Amino acid sequence: MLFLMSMASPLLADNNPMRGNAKFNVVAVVLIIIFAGVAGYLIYLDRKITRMEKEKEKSS
Amino acid sequence: MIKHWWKIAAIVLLLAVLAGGLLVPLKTGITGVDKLNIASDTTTRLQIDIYNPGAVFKPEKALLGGKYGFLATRLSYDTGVLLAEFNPKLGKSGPEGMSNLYVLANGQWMAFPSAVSITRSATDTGSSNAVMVVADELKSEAVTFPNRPILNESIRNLFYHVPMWFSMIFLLLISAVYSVKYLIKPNLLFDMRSDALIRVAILAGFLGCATGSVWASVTWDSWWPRDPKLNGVAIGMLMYGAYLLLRSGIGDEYQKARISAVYNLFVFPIFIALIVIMPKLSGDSLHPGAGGTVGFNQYDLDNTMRMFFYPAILGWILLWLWMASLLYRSNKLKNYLP
Repeated sequence: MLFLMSMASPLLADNNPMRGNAKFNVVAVVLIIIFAGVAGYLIYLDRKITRMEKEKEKSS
Repeated sequence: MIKHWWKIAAIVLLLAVLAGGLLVPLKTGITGVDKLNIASDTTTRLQIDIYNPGAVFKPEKALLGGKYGFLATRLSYDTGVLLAEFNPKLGKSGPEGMSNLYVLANGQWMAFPSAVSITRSATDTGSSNAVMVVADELKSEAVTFPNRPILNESIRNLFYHVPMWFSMIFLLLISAVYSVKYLIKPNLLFDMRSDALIRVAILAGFLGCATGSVWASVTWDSWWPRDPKLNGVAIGMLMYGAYLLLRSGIGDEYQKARISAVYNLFVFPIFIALIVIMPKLSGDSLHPGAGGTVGFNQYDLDNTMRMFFYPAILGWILLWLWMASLLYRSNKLKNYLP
């Protein structure tokens, strides 16, 4: 999270032309956070399946 | 942790691609002019919209035409709007018609094709005042994306729409390899890998269609333009849809696996022919790099797009591979008893 925030802060700075008057950079950072959430969910699934695989190995 | 390096690479690459792809500004460019027609031999003031002018915008020249053109006699600039006065004299023999608009500012030329049409007025019977201009394009070192008319900001879609297709083709290729492996050695695990890859590839292809459709609706003025690539993809997606139907209709595991493998190997080369080779042969595809259109590499003079495009392809491929591996592993847990 800290890593993400440190990466995002220059992108959110006032002098980024993408900010303009329309503040588009805010949308981009929101998308990045959502993608990070989706990636986190994938990691969770991966670990869950790994755990189930290990349990299956033990029981067989 | 070491084993999962490629999953971490996928996340890091895609975070960088999202951040860079969405936030790196476009080059300064022209987005519009206020007149469609101007008459020759009359002083006309054109109002030119400048996009992303930057902190300091110093217009040096404005030119209507091409290699031979008419230079603006006066230029003034104020917050995003460039006012340029032209007095084009076609003379007796100068051709009427559409002219491109070029502006030289801060040492760089920008172009707006087919900006205005010049019509000859009755008084224009003297000699022409067209000049020959050599546009020596200076390459910029700044980190910016090219600003193309029509595409404009949507050029960023290159990092999100195009990798869907690259991923789909790559996943289908690996799936075909597993089909070959299955035919050599009938192990149901090969079939399950190939199946998971195809299913995830179909999802990537579906997203590619949907995102392409949205992009085309803005840049090509149609949700489904007449384009051999699109029609090829539609047929290809239907063939893979038939794969799903075929599989669901067979009960016996080994028969299902063998028929799937043969069908997959039959369909993959046809799919590649439909979406890669046919559009090139037909010669009138709208997509870059096929027929009469140029590839994106011609737009990107300073390589900034490549800096994000290649990581985007790699990141998306890894992400889809990860999803396919999750699908395979969960299917294996459900069905396969070692």
